[in-house]
Amino acid sequence: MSVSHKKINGLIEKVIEGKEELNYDKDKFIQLCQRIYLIESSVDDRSRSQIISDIRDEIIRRSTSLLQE
Amino acid sequence: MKLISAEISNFRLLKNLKLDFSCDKEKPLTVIRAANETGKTTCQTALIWCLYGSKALPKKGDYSLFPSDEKESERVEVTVEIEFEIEHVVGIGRGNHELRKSTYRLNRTCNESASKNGEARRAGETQNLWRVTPKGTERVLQSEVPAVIENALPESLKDVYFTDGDSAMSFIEAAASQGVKRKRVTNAIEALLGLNILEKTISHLGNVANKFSQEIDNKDYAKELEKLCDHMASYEEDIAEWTEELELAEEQISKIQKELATKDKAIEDALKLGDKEKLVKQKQAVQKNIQRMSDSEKSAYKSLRAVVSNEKMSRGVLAEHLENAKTILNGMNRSKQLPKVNVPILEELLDRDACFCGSDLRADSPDGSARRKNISEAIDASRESDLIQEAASSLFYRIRSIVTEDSSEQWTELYGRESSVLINAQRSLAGFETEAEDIEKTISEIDDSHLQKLKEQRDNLRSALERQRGTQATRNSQIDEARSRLREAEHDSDRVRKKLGKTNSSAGNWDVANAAKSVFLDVVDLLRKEELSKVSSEMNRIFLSMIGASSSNSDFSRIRRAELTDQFDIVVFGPNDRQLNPDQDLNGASRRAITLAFILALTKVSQVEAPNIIDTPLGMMSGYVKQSVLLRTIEEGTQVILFLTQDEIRGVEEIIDKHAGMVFTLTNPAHYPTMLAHKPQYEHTGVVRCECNHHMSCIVCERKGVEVK
Repeated sequence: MSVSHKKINGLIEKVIEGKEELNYDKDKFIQLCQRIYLIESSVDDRSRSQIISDIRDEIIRRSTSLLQE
Repeated sequence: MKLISAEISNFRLLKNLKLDFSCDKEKPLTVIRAANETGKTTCQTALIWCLYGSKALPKKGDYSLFPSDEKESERVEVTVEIEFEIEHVVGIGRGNHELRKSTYRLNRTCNESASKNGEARRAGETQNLWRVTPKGTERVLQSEVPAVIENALPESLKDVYFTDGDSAMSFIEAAASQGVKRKRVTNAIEALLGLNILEKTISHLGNVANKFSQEIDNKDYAKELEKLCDHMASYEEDIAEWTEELELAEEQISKIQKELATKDKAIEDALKLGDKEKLVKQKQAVQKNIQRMSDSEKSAYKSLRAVVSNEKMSRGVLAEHLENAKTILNGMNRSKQLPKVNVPILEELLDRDACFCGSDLRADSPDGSARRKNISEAIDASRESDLIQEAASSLFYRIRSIVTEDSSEQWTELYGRESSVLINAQRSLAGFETEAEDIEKTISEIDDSHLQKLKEQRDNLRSALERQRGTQATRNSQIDEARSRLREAEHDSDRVRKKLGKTNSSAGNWDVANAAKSVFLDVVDLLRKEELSKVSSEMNRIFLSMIGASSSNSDFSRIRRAELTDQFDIVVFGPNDRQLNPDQDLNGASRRAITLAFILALTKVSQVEAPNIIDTPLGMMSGYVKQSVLLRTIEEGTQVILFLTQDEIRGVEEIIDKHAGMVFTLTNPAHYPTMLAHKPQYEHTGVVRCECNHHMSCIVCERKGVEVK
């Protein structure tokens, strides 16, 4: 069992909160990064290209609302 | 991950054994009491084999699973089944994922036989995984099994979670080179802190950013769109202008057509009075006929002349006379009068000395001279009659082959036909000449000035109509072309608009992907620096607490602190920050303690829930250190499973009483009668389990008070 999601989620939150230059809605950006980690650490049997595709789709899905902020 | 239970069958001396583990958060400790040679290490090996397969067995798999009491020739089925609970991320469709707790049942089985020399033959090793649900079990796809296991308990962390007293010092043992120890520590840290996953995430985000980057190009689509919009406006203006002109032309065409209809009507009325132009054309046609008939007349004359000068006409005219001449000449011929010629024969006699009859014709003889004179006189007398004879002969030969029969009729018919042609031609010619004269007379009588004027007006209107139609065709063509260009420009502008939007969104997405990548780089950085520092700090705290040492300089302890260096070395320091040699300066208990402290610190910092399955962790320990190591292990771990001998338990019973949710005992029947008090009731010689805790004994597990002599 590798590092817990709770731990990584906490670190993602900490890093993003510390980034003052970030122009995005921080809460939404934290959610996006946490979703990316969820996708990456999924146990589903997926190829590397499928993981990249899922991450890409997740960014496309959420970046619009990030950019509108 | 939490282990729930395990069932082991035919695995070396574990013939048929079930292990249960405490999952109680308040009492996370499981104690499996077992004497030496009772299968404690084998239990661990069985769990490792079930999770990772033969490659994870000792000696790289060259490790017999064959039960020792089986006949060598027999083949046995070896099975290990583990039930465990994990929290993991699963896909829930449409690219969405969620964190979920699931219970799994993992089964690994194989067939093994052994030869007389002890060589094991393993075959048919299979692994299957089921998800345990309230409704039963669901088979997990074979392709997903490794990922579930890797997520539950990564193979790289095998040595962290499955520890035994002998190898517990692997992270610090002096026998291993610095590189090997560092590698073990690095692997443990990277696996437990999930650095591998994070580094993959960073790499994948780099790929995603690159993909977005490829969708962005440097073309100025806004400028291109503006240009296209200008073109479209220009086309629309042209279309409007040309449409107006087209409408005007069509209006003119309609007007001219009406006027033309009026003119045609007026001309038609005027023509009813006489069409001079038409008459001229008629006259020209008649004159052509006159010329044609004149040619026919000439030709007829020529033919008639040929008929008149023909031999047929002579035969027809002279037929009667020719027949009479034939009769006379035929009579002369029959009477041998034709042909009759004297002169040449007489002249030949004059050239001879004697006549045909033999008479003397010599000139110097008197008889001959007289006869010659007579011949000459006869020649002179025959000359006129010979000419007549010659003419008659000639006439005879010429006319005897002339056929006079029907000659007159044939010639008359031919003459009549040719005469008729000539007469007809002359008549037609006369008719056309009369017609021409009549037309000429009519023409001279018509006044057509009004009609000519109307016709001129009509021609002008027709020209105007043609011009307007030309304008109409040109404008139509121009409008069609402009509309086509407009459509193309609209299509291009849509495409450019999409590009413009896509470029904008791709640039935004690229920015987000890079920002996310930056976040994960910072997370890794934090893990490598701050979190490793925390691991080091926690390890130091737990270790010092376990061995009852202190960092204070006033303390008498030889061990002052432990540290995880930036190079991933676990080092221990004594007074005055002197680095200690683990092999020489640390006792066995401390060496085990530092390893356990490192594992527990790493687990704590990573906030991972995972079992610590430790075989004889309290060996070489007693008193405070033993109690402290056990207590710290229970406090810092989330699920602690300890294989303890009765000797290890001694002195920590109260701690076990307080923290153990599950205690049972394993017994090896082979220890009877040397160590076991009672004869085993089982037929097989495998390890058996009884529910006796660390305070109890029974007919199965009761041991003799052994006194070694």
